[in-house]
Amino acid sequence: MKHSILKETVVIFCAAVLIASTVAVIFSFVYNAGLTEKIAGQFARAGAASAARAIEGVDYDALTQSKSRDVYMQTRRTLKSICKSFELKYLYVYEPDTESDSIRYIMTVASDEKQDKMVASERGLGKVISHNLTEQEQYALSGEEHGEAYVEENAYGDVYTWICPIYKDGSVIALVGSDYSTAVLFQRTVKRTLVIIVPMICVLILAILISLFAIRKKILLPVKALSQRMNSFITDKGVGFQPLDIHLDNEIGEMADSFSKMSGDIKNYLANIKTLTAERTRTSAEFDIARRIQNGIVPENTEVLGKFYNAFARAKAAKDVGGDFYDCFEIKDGNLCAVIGDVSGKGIAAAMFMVMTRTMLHDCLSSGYSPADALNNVNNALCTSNPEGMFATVFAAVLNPKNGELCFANAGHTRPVITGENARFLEIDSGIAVGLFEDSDIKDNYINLKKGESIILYSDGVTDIVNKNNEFFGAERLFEVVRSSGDAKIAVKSLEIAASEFAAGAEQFDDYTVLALNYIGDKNILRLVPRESSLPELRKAVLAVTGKNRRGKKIYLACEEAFVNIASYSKATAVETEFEKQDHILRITFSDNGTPFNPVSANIKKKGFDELDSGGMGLSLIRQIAENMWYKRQDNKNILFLEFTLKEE
Amino acid sequence: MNIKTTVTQSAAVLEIDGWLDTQTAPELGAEIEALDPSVTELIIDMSKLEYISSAGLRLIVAAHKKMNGNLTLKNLTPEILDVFNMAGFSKKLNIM
Repeated sequence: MKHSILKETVVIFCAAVLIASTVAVIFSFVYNAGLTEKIAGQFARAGAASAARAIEGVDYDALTQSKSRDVYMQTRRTLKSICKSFELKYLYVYEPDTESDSIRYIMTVASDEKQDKMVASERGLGKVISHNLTEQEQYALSGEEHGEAYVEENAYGDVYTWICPIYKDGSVIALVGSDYSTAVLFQRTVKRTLVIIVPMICVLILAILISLFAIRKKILLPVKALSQRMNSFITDKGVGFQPLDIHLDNEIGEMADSFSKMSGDIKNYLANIKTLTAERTRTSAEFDIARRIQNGIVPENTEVLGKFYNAFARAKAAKDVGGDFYDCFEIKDGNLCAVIGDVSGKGIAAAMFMVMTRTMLHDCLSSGYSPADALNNVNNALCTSNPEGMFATVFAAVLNPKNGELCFANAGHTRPVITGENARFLEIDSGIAVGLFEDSDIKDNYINLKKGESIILYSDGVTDIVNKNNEFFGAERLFEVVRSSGDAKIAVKSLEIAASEFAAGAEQFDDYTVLALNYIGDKNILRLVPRESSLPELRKAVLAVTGKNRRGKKIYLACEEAFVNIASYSKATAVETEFEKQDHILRITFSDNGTPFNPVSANIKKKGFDELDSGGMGLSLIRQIAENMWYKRQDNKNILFLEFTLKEE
Repeated sequence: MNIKTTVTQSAAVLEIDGWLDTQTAPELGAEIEALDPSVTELIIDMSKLEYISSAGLRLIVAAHKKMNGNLTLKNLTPEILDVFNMAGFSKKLNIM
């Protein structure tokens, strides 16, 4: 805390008291000064007047001519008593002599005993001192009693003086002066001021103390308690949620009530969140398990490589568990089974129905059922136990890799694409999805795939991809992407890239599943290390195709020269030799990953006989033996085609 | 490939049996290299030679140079002769 409100309030109150007291003292002092001055004047006047009347009441001559000491002393006591009564410092009676500018004292008294003794001798009867008459004295002599006291500074201190005439027989015979001390006047003023101010300040301080106490109890302590509770609200949960012990009928009490209510609400809210989180965690864990199971059944990538085919599948579920599925596996007789399907709906229910459908289809196809038989079987099984009325579109096919025969059947699924020179959508009845009607009577269809052709199976999650302009990816775009694909993996990957570029980051709404089967056919590929030591292997492979005859040896001669060229000069690390025999034509393809070299267009330097021991005959031999040869550079590979006729020589 | 060498005075006879290709050619090269300097005439009997590639042809040219033309090839089968014809120098050689 930077500042305490209490401390600040005390400082403010003290300052207020100080300022108020100062102002009050000043005003009070000025007022009292005026008042006491007026009183002093009245006292001086009254004292002088009383003394004059007292003198007039005695035998003046007896008093002044020393005839009677008793009268003098009596009068002096009277004057002294008057002097004391009117708080006067001095009271004196004298006769002014206007001709000699002097005065003659008759009597002087003082209130103070010590002073009185002194003035009794110094300013006693008959004492004459020179003195110029003041204005007041002249007024008095002329019979006018003068109204104002005046401050006279003389040897006896600052005094207010009042002059009053003494009459005898109607004329002024002497004057009486009274001195009122200014020191006494000041003392009176201070005394009066203090009497007023001190109680006032005391009352003020008391009021402030009471206020502070009230502020502390009613505001500061509750606010402090509230603040501490807020501070430790989360850290100290045990206390944090207890109702606050503040019972006030004001804004602070209202604030405390609101806070108590808020902490109660938060307590309940936290409890709810705790329950919800626990539930969410459990559901999420179960979902994770379901997802792992689904990934085990429908992996994101699957590659099946056979001698005469290659197959590749890619699946991406839109939600945690989805309804798309595929299956691709080789069965006992060497045939390749491929299934793709899409279950209505999404989530756990779709996933369960999917697992059931896929498992039954897998069993049927594994047991050698044809696609249509498998689909009909599964359909009947699903129809008998399908309380939720779910259904699945399925396309199933079996490829005989030895001759390219493809047997397939459709249950309401999208039409696959056949790639290759004669790329097309597979012509097939749409059929009825499995799970809807018994006896859907799905039929088998057959086509013969040519070597290198592929069949691309996909779910509608591929064609239904929407880009930001709300356009569908569509079957036509899919067709254009895959139409010239050979290798299954390349087809699937290029389709995935095209689809993702099309979507350009838009959210995936549906499951994405693609399965491609590439029929390679009876191809004979020999992979060789490009070294001379590989020659016996090459020879064996060539002669196995040609037969060990004169023509065969010549064809091998061409192959040896081609291979040795690659091994000696290209720096290749792998050479693939592919043999393709069609009737009497043998095509042998060498592909190597070495530096580019085109043996078809390369110039053969004409050498003399004596130079031939340094080589240069190989290319010439190849050109003479092969009926046809051509070359291309593709995928960073040298590909050399040699075509031979297998004629008898 | 097997090579049978017979030396009589200044003449040597090499009888090659089997496949003479890039892999086996060094054996023949070594055999010719190993001949005594006194040998000035070389006869290669190819009756049992089943196959020859450019590596073998190069050795024949080299041997021809080494013997200053005193090289005779004999008993060539038609298929071996065919290769020499394709190489384009059967006329330069003394073929019996």
